[in-house]
Amino acid sequence: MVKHWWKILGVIFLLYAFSVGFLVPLKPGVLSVEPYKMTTGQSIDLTVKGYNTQFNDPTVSEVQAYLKLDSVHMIEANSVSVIGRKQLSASFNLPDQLPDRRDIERATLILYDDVDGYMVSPAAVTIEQDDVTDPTGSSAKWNAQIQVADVPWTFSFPYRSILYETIRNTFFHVAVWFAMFILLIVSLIYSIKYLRSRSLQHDAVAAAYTQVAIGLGLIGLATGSVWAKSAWGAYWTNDPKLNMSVVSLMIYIAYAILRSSFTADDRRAQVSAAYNIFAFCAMIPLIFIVPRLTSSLHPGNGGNPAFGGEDLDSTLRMVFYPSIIGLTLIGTWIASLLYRVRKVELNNIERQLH
Amino acid sequence: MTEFFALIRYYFSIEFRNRSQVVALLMFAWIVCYILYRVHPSLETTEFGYLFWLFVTLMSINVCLRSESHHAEEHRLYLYTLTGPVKLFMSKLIFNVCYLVFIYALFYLCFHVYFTEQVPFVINFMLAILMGAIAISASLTFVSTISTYASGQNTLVSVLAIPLLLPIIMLLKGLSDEIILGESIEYAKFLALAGLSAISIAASMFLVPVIWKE
Repeated sequence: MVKHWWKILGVIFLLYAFSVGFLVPLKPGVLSVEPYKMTTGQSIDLTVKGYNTQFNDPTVSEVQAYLKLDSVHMIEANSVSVIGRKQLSASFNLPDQLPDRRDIERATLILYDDVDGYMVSPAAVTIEQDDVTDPTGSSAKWNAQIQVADVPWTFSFPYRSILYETIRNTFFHVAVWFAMFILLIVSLIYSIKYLRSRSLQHDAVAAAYTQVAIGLGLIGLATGSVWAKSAWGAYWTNDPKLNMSVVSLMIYIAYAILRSSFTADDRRAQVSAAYNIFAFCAMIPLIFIVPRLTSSLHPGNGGNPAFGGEDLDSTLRMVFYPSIIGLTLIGTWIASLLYRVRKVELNNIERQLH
Repeated sequence: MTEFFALIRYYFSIEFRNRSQVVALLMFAWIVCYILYRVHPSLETTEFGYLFWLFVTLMSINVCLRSESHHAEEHRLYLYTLTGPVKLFMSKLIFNVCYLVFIYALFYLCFHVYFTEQVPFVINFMLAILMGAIAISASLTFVSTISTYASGQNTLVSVLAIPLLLPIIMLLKGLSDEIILGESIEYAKFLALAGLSAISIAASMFLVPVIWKE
């Protein structure tokens, strides 16, 4: 039992990632705002639909609503009436003019209540103005201030428009690719070991790890496709990162084909170890350099940071890292089973020879 | 060093001794251009990039395979013991690069003859051809060396090489489009190509001595 602690750890981490990753709710957020277009000088009632919100909770004393143009200019709603748990109506009196001479301006809607905390909907509404002559007088009317209150920390995942609930895929899609990469590095190390020692067991280890890595890569493609369908609208796009991941997967499938085209064990081990090292050297620049040369939709490329700012916050990290460790350990477990089957075969061959 | 040049000269002499092979390759380039001209006379400049590098890949696989299968197993062992695996590999690589540059340039001229307006003759395109020949033959020479040890050589080379060549072709396509359309060249692509070739050549020089021993 003591010997198998890492398998138990892997199972626990993976179960933790699945249960917590699926069960923890998202933070409250703004789902939709109606109407989204307005003109200056208007009195308007905005119907706001919330997600995971508790507007009518008895402990909520007051819901505050703000429209924010930039870091200085903001107005507060005159009155907010709660319609239901997930719906409210906020009425704003827009000043006669925008604080600058632009025809149109996007405003961010900010909601606050004691239970849900702050909810921000960037570029929720657009405000038009007909008269762009003299903004100086109206600038003073956009002077509301938010009283920043301490929001108690809750265990919930960030609410992002476009992503919504699919943000949970971070724990599976991204973690699977990380685990695949770790297994491929192990396979590379055993290929180098084989070329130094010429022991067929090292080659068997390298082959087992590559097999599992190919499986993880296919899972990574599948989870990525599902995510792309919801976030970008298509299962597959012509994106450098996607092309490169397919190419690197093809390289390793070619490795599997190369292995099957030999009859002599030592020749197969020798040549496929060489190809494994060559493929890995060719793959690093593919995945890390080429997609960065062009702009890409996929996070982690030209002008699109992956783990930047609020996208991977502390609650996501609490599930993401255990998920990587869990998947890597489970992958190692499967690879060790494949390797042990091969080892039995090798021993049988040796016994027949003697 | 003398062995080195002797080997390259040796490769050229066997390649051109069998002239039908060279003629067949040139014929292939010519027929491709001619068929494209008949089927799709309104070819666009951006389409040219894809078509050129696609057919170039097919021809390169052919060339690199042939330079490998010139000699029988015993003959190769004899050459290995005479000169050493790295020298043999490097001479083969340089032969492949020279030969491919020659074929690519003729193929490009062929395109220029049939599609004079869409594919103008730009001398800088030779740069793309040179970079392409080095990058493509760097991976192909290694892969065809590997495949001589396996059975089913021809299919194996395609299976092993095409995933390695795909990103190189995408980079080359972008580079050649920029050159043909007269836009400013993105040097990051240039560096990426040079880096890819350098890595593959370095990896092969390290691996070739390891794998040739029985």
